[in-house]
Amino acid sequence: MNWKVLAAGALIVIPLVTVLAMGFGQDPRALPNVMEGRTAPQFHLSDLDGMQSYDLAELAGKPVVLNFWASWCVPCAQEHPWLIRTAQQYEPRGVVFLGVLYGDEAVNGKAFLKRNGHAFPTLLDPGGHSALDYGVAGVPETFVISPQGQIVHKFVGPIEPDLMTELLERML
Amino acid sequence: MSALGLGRRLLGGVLLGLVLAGGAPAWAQPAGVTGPPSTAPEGLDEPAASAPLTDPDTIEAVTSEVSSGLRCPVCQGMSVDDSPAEGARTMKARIRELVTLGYNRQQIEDYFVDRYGTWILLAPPAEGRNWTVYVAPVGFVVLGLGAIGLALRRKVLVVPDADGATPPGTEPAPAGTAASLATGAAVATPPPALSAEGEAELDSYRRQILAELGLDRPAEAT
Repeated sequence: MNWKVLAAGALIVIPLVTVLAMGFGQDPRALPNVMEGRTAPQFHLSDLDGMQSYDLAELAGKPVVLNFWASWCVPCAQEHPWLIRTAQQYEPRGVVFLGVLYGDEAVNGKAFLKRNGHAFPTLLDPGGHSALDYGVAGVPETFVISPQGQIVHKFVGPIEPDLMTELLERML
Repeated sequence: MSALGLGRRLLGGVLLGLVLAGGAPAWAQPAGVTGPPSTAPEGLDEPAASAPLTDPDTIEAVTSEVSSGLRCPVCQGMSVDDSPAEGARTMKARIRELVTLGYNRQQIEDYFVDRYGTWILLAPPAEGRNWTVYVAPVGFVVLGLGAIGLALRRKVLVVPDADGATPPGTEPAPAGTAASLATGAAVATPPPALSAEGEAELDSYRRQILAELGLDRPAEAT
């Protein structure tokens, strides 16, 4: 084998290995997180009973935790007790917790909350507009929004209680 | 297909072409609408490029066209148009609403790319590292053709000289290869030697042929 063969082999193999190495370093199923650090999209949504509406603009100056969930979602049921506990701990300190029902009926959401308990209001999102505005791909997804209205963190899947606590403590 | 059905399909195709080109026919506007809306609905940064659409066939055709270019965020390997997943159905419903409002394909894709990144497009844009996807196949074809060309060139050049010798470090080209065909070099394989019986049979055939041709007698002197 002479140097020309080696050079030709390297010319083909090195770019291939480089491209594959870049690909192996990523989870092909993970969606890119493009919302963190950006201004949280506005929403104006009503609760499950349609009795009270919530507007993000009116919550300016307070940290907001926005949790997208569904009654049919198993990981949502898993994180529910953690969310209740965190809400009970931080709502008295000025953090606003809001749930948004995703791809589900109000009646199912109410039944879930009756069964599993609740500590904060859940809102209806007709047509899933707010979910799409926030780039939600599935549930649960939870957005931590700063008092200035910036998305500080996005949890994909169940929240990590320790990280949530750390984020809220940093904002208070 | 009936003439009416064919006509509706043709009309739908023409309207789809117009809408995808970024415009809408004036007669597609509802009564009282003179142009695109000047304000954007909540969640969108800019107003629609065109007037609202009213023809259901056109709306459905544009919705299908746009959603077939977007990736389902749940099943990922399928387009929003094909996927039955809840997330994809939500996206398709939103696309239908935006199309009805007069948003064109580019505006709708921009909206989803803004929320999900370019990942949401089934055909990645030709920019940054994505160039690899577009350039690599062409590069490999060029490399392959080059390698084939080099191999052929080497074969053609390696032809034995008059003594049957080849350059040092090379093998003589076998009979019937591109080398002998291209150069006409006499590199034909000699026929195998016959046995004594074979030689006798061959000789009898030769004499028979000569006899039939009248060439077996010496020429008479005139």
